[in-house]
Amino acid sequence: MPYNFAYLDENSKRAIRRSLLKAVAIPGHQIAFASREMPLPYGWGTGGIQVTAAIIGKDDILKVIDQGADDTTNAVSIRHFFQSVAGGIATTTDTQQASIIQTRHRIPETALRADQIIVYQVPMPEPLFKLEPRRTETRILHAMADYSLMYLQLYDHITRYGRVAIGYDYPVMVHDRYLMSPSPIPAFDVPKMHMNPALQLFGAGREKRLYAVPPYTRVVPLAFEDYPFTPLQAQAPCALCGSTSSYKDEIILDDSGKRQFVCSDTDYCGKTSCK
Amino acid sequence: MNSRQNQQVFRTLLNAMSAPGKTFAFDTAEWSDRLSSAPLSPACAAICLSLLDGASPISLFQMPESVAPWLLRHCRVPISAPEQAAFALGMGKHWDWDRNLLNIGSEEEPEKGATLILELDSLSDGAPLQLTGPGIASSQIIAPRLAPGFVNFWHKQQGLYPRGIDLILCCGNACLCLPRSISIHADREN
Repeated sequence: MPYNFAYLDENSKRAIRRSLLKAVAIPGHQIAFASREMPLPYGWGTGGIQVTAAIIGKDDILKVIDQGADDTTNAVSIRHFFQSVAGGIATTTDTQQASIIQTRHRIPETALRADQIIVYQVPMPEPLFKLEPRRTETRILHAMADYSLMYLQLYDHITRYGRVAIGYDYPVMVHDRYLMSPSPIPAFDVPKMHMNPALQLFGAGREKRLYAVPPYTRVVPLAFEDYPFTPLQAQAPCALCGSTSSYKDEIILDDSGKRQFVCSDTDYCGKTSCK
Repeated sequence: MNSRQNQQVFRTLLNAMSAPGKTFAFDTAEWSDRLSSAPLSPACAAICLSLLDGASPISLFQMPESVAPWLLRHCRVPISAPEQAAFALGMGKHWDWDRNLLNIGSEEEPEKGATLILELDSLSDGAPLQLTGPGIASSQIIAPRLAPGFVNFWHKQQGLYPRGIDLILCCGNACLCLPRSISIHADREN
């Protein structure tokens, strides 16, 4: 029996769509949704896939990346999934061509446009999770906008390590109201979220939460005046394309520990080295 | 409506909610006969058909009598009291902004605040309002023809943020959205 377009039945899509509209209306606020069982395990992007399934149409061009790469297992299998359940939908690896970009743990280097939507796969939507594991409590903290626990965590890092030692999933304030997990993107990518012209949607399948950052919305990383937000960046240029501005992966080359840095965004790297 | 029409209407609405104040037209030519039988504007009917079902109770305010049976028949949506409704449907010119009966959600679950869909006579010949906030790069001017007291209502609702209701204003086959997150300023009280 063939599946409904984009796998989910229309009732499930409608429920997700209604939640998405509320998520856009309350930037950064996590909304519970009836996450469906998907044909792949939790942790492989079930939340992002359900959000994409709820928004995707015949005219969309889908790009899927996993840690910046279009050719890793997760990205390839999700792309194939939508090709098979969404009536042979067009896919691309080119950031500029895509109308929907589903991503795991990166934001593309190429700037996004107002007519694009980026869908993040989120393992843990609750930014306070490591400080307060009880959902009943974090709901109250969000309701009161009481984020002192997180500030304390940053202070703790500064006293121990001399800096805020958070490399990924860096806590951000959205529209000056909600503390939000940007999903485990590197801190390097966080400034791209601020006033981005593209709509940003977040889906967490196991945790059954979704949230959104509308275009042109303030997204500010938590920091102190005397310890401003300073993301780490590899000091070496990309070994393949020579880019100094992109985010790099460190690759170990041999048993003697020789290493090199290459762009994590494969589409960007390919285009830069062609020039 | 089929899966594709649902998706097209929703995407237009998602774009509209992400760009408050901007007018978006629904491409309704393909199913005009279905919508022409509706006692609602094409935009409003399309939104109801694509978004409502048994899990989204709706409340009707001063709508023509034929609306309730049409909604029941096409969306199977339960008609409910204002306090329990996830959606509300009303006429823009009659809407009483001084008395909000709709659910505005709680501090913990502000998303339970209702979505109010209003039928307007015009989205562009009312008093000008200036919008700022998420979804708007700098500022946006709109001029929907709304009943008096709207700006007051919005200022009051902003004080309750993140609690509140979200608006979808419909006229003909176009709509514009006013999510609760935006600020609205009028040159003079209207």
